[in-house]
Amino acid sequence: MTLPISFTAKAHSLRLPAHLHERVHPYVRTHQKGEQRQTKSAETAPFARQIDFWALSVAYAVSKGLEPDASMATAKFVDTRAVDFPAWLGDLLCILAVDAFGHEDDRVQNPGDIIDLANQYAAAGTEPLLGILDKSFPGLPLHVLLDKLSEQVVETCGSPTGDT
Amino acid sequence: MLSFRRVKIQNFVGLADIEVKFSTEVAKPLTVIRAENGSGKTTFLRALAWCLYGEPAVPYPGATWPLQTIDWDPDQGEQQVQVSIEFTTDASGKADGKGAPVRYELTRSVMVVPRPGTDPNWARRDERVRLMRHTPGAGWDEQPGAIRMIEELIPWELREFFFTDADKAEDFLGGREGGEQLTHSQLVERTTGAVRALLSLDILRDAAARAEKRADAYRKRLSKSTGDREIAELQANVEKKKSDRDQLRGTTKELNEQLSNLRDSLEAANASLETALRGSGAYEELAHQMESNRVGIQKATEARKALAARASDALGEPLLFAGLVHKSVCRVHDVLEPLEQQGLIPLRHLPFVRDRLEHGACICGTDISTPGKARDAVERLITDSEEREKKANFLGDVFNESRYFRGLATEPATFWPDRVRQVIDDLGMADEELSGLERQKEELQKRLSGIKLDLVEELKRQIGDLESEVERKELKARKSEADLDDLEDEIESLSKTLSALTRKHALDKDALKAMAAAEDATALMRRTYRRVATDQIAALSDRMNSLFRDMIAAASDEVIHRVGIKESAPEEYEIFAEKRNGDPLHVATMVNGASRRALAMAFIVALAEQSGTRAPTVCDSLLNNTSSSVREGTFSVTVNNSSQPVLLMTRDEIHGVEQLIRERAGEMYTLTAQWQADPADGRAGEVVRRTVDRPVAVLCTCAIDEYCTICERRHDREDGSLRRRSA
Repeated sequence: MTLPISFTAKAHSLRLPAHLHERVHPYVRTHQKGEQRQTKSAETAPFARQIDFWALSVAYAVSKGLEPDASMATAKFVDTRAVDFPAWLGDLLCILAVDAFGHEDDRVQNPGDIIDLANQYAAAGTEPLLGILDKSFPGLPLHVLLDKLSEQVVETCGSPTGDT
Repeated sequence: MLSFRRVKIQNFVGLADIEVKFSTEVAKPLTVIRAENGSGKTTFLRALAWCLYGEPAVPYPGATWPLQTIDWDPDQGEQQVQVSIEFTTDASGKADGKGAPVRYELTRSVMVVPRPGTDPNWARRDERVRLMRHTPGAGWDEQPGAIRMIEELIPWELREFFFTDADKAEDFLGGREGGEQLTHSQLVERTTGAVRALLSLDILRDAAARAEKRADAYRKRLSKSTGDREIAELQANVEKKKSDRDQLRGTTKELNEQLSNLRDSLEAANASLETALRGSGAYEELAHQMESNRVGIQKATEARKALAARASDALGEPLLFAGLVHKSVCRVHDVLEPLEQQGLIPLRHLPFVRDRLEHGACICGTDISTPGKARDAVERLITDSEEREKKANFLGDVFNESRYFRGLATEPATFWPDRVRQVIDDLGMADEELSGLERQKEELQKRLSGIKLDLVEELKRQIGDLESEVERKELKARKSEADLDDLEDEIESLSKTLSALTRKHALDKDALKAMAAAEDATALMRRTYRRVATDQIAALSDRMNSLFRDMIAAASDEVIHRVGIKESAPEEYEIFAEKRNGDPLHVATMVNGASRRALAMAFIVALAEQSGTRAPTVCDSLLNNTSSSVREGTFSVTVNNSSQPVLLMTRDEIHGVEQLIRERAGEMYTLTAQWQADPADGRAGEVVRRTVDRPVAVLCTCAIDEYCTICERRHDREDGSLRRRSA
């Protein structure tokens, strides 16, 4: 099931903190224009696209209980019409909007407001996510990130089997 | 003919005191000594050879090989080692060419004396050789010249022909000597030595040379005495030609020696190339392994890359996001759930109201099918609720999504950390596989760098050069030989003219007769030499082939089509083997051990036959490791074509030829090692009992199908083919 809301009918800018933009690039395998960077491996640059980094920043910030940061100067890296924006991600963003704005708030049905909220979460989550990646050495960024995220999921959800 | 009658061996290594009587029966000339491995067969052979040839016949020259009994103790003092062979020679023998058979006894003895504090702690002294001749009615008399006589009967160079074992027979045609592979020229030298000695080619050549020298001397004297100028000039010309011939002979010999050395070098280079190519074969194998390794690394790298991509993809999975925002999802779910239960999200009553309006009947029973107040009120309710409905439906969908994501995050089967752990584990395994392949690659590279491909190329170049050089030298040698033949013809023609002129003008009739006799003798000797060197060698070759085929035909037919002997260079002979298509087989390397042994025996027997040499053939383990058909063939040929065969055989060798032995053996013995009854020996308990409390071999007269208290071995009693004999 998909929510009756479109993030791609109109272009919505996806943004990351302007001052952190350059630090994100090494962990992304694709140029903004879609050109493949052959020299990067998935283990050193875990994200196929910037939007993947952006989405994880959103989720990570929510997971860590960070408040959406509207104060940070951000820079657009792509808009929702220019990328393959997954429907399930839109659905989750709507849920996050309901959680953040309250279900009675009309913004929960407004894609622009939802994306704005997501951009603010991304702004809050970028720094800690980069922190994990930057401190991954001597391990590989992907491995370290997977470990940390696994821990975070277990912390958030608990383990369904009781293991931690 | 030389024939052994008996041998008495005292204190010779493991043979403390044994006496063997050899069969001299014409119909049953075979003597069999049954002995298992390690029972003293080789020692028996050595004892015979030592008696005949002394120190050079035992291993390790320089008197360092102990002849004394194994249990000799220096504290016991000196020990005398002695071997006596009684033999006969008759009119067909080469040493004593006249009269009836004569009996001799050859005794060789030596004293072993203690030499404390030295290594070895013993020495040998007072070696004595005594030859006694028996004269009927007068008894035994000591004879001078024992060593010369033996040398004439069985020359030292041929000792291995008549006293041989399986290894020596094999090695005669290309085995090893002193740890080195014999070269082609050494093999040719060895074969040539045997052929020339037994066919008396050297004697004939020397005799021809002596006769020619004598004829020359008479001719020179006579021609000088005539004072004829033409004769003098002709004489000078003949002498000049003979001088040229001698020089050309030297040149030809030198060329053939060079050719032989070149062939040895070529053979050595080919052997080196073969070794290097084996290395190159290893190279090919390594290269193949390297390629497999490369493909393996490529595949493993791709597989690892795919795993890493899977791990990376996990960062974009909804499962991860559902897990990370789980708390937020749950909160939304918890907020919306009561609304959903109350029917507020979505608005459940509005579709019902629309349905009622459509059917014209309100829920309270009022007719609203026609316009009126009631219908207007219902229509207003619907219109007023439409905005709320959109939002409520949206929130209803959000609630459903939250319920979905809430379940997704905690579903054990799809729990993201577990899935990621699996991918990480797979990556770890891929890393291990790659590390293993990388280690293998390093190892292969190390091994690969050890193979010298340059050497192969260098050897191929050397072989090419050597082959060209051999070809050139062969042409030169053949031309030199042809020139020599022409010169010989010219000399012969000139000599005839000179002889005729000399006869015409000579005054000294006696000298003339002597010259004519010497010339006739020279011609006769030369003809004889040529006949022996061609006809007899051809006959020897044919006989060898026939004997060899009798021995081994069935087994070798597919590989060896013909064997024989040929002249490889003037006055040089070599044994050859050919395939069916005429291609040569390199005897030393391309013919297997059993075939080499049979080939050597065929050569020995044929050469003895052609030369009329009649001497005992003593063979140790000749039939060892042969198939039953080859064993039977080799046995029959050896026994039927030797004047006095003496075979030392293990039970395994006897197996399959029992009937032939019974038919041809005049004497049979069994030699039993006492140490094989000792549990400490490797063959622990194979001999049932000790009969002498010493580390020696004991002889009994048990035939091949008997056992007694001395020679009984384990399981003999259960063996139906053996019968017990009273010792």
